[in-house]
Amino acid sequence: MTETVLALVPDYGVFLVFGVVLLACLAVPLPASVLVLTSGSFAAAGDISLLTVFLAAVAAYILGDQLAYGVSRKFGPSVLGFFERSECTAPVVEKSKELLQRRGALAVLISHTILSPTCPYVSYLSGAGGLNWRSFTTAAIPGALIWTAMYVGLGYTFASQLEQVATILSNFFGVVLAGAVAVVSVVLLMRRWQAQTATQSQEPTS
Amino acid sequence: MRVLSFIRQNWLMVSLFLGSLAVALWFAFHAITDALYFNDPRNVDVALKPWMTPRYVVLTYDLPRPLVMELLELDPDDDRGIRLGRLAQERNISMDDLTTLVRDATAAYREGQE
Repeated sequence: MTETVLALVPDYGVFLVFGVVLLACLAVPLPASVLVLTSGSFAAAGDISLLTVFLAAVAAYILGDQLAYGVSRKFGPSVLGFFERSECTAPVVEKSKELLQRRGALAVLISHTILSPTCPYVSYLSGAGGLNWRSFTTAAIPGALIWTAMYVGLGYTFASQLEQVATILSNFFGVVLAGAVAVVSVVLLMRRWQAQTATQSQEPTS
Repeated sequence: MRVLSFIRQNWLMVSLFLGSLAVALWFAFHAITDALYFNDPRNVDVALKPWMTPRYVVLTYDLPRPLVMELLELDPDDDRGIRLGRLAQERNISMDDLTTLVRDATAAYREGQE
């Protein structure tokens, strides 16, 4: 898949970058990061313009974000409503919404940069969960700029070692994503342990 | 005993933690082995891929542009939009053969530079 998409760059250039990044923001499984990285290298080789690649990727990222947010804002609440009616999932949805209101902008920024594979899902959740448009956009646009500058810049700077950089990045995201899941699960386990210990220590006195 | 009972009660979360930790370690291990692999001078010149362009070969193999154009029998003023996959197909050779051709020329060029 990745090789097929990359082979289209010399023919379609920035239009391809725009289309793939836009669709990836909507959670279509396409290799947007590798494509933007490689486009940076193509720019270094003189095959395409650096500025055009950057602008196309940023524009697609921002537009894709807004589409994901807008669609989930319109249709998401009814989907969430279904889960809120269930006794089993209602507390989780409620807590997620509350968390989104408190730390939503930070989550959007992180998901658009360090944890970019989670970006489309966070955009959908932000719209469905009721994070206001201004908070979403003020975090999403800097996130899009940082992500694009990072990938285009790395591709451009390390054009002669593209395969090495792509491998390092994929390993990095693997460590960060799996590490994030490990950290969250251990935090939840510690909270449960503390709650259980507190309950047990209260039991003999009551 | 308390710990074991806690693990039994929260087996799903414990499994998630152990699973994600194993995946993180797997990626970290690969990060180290890949870094060692690419640090080896024998692996610096990567194999050519169908999506690469002649200009990209110039950059990756650090070769003069006229040399690559001559090697690939291309017009130096009209190489935009050409990718190696198409070139190999037109010449009826495999990507491996094209890689060998470029690597041999690179070795000869570097030898001449020394």
